[in-house]
Amino acid sequence: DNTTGTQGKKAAIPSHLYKLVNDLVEVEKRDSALLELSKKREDFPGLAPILWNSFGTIAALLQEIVSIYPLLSPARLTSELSNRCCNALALLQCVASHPDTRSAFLNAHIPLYLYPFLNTVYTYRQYEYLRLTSLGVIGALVKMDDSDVITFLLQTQIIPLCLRIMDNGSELSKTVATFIIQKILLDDQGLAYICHTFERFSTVSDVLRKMVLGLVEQPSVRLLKHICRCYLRLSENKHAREALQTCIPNELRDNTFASELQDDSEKLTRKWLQQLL
Amino acid sequence: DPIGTGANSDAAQQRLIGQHGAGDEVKVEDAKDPTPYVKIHPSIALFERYPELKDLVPLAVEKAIQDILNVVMRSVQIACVTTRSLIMKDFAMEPDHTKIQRAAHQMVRKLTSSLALVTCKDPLRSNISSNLASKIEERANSPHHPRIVVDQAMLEQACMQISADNLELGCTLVENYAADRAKQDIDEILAAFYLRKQQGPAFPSSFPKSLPAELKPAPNGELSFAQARVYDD
Repeated sequence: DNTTGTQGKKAAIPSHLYKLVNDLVEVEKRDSALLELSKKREDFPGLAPILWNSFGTIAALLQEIVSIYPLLSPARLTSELSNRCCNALALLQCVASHPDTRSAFLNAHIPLYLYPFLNTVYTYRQYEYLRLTSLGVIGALVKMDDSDVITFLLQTQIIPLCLRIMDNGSELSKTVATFIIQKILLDDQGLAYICHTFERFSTVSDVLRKMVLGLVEQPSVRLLKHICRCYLRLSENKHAREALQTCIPNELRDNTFASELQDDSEKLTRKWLQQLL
Repeated sequence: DPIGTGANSDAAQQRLIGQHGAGDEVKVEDAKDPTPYVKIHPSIALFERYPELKDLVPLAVEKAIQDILNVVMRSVQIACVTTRSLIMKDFAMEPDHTKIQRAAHQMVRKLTSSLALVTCKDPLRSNISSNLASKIEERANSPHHPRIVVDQAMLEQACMQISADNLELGCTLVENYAADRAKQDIDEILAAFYLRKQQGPAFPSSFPKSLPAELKPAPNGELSFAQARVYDD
């Protein structure tokens, strides 16, 4: 075993990790294996193909996901079960972000099993955590800049789910949901889809506008950054650009957010905002 | 099933059976006729005044279920795609097609009924209530029933009570319908895969060589005890 003591990107898979993956198929050992593996996943980029290719592992992770469904409404989800499910989601996120497993993951329609979590509205912490972790998996998918991912998401109605979270989620959830919309917009078919009818455009632009107004009370630079990027990308569509003349909130035109954006690290956001206006 | 998806629907079914006597289990074909299982609380004011309106309750429940079958079919589709993909991956080396079929059925039923329940429960609740309200109003406005004058508060109370009391029945029928449909569909989808297994022993190993032995089925397709159980739970 030449991996003892080696950490980081290039680490080979040590044998105890195989043992943990094997434990996932055993109901009695699954809970602790989920916890251990989700802690270690970032140290071993090679974990994703093992999770996907080993017998029964994905089936076991899916069982974890669907077993939570009956507890979603009325609210019966405990923090313990939410954590356990989030560990399973973290492993699926691995599979979603790895170039060798991403298409198989999409082709098996696995992201759709996360949508019921995104559809919940309870604000309890365990629900928020489940939504945020599920958004994280979708976020990891769109980060790959793969147009197959965007095609899949457009066909499966992720946009309304994201918009609702942008409308009434926590700051962190709003940020990830806005990031997902941003990534969809940055794809040409995504921009075309959202600007295809005025109704679609205005639904998105209304939510963006409402978020800007919310930021006046509760500032968040990272959220502001994603919102500006969304507006800027929308302005690349001819019809959307015309409509935006009247849709962009004044708070972005005057100096409402000047103090948040004065930091040098926000140079890019300042540039986007200038470009937009 | 320690967390209780399966246990939950079994419990729902148990309660249904309990109400109507042993052996009176709700069957898939009953998805079109919930009449014998419909529950009407004896002290609903509207029905005390107009008992003839009770006839509308099974019709409203039935229509609510029918209205939701499109959504249900989407769950069936998704579960079939997932099951096909995972079964073909995990059972590539399994020579016995009956084992594969059994695992495919277990998985597709579980995924379908889970998805159907989580997506249909809320719409079903409101559908039962709104369908009953419109059926009652239609009856009240009909010239053949001049005696019936519907009080709004009473109507709302009746619809809420009926919807709450029959939601579980609706869910069980929808879940069973979906799971049964998915079982048929997956057999069609995997027919060629089953057939290949029946025709000969030549099966290519789909498992990457780099995986250690404990993570793949044995060379002759034998599964370890734990592996064999994953698809049963």
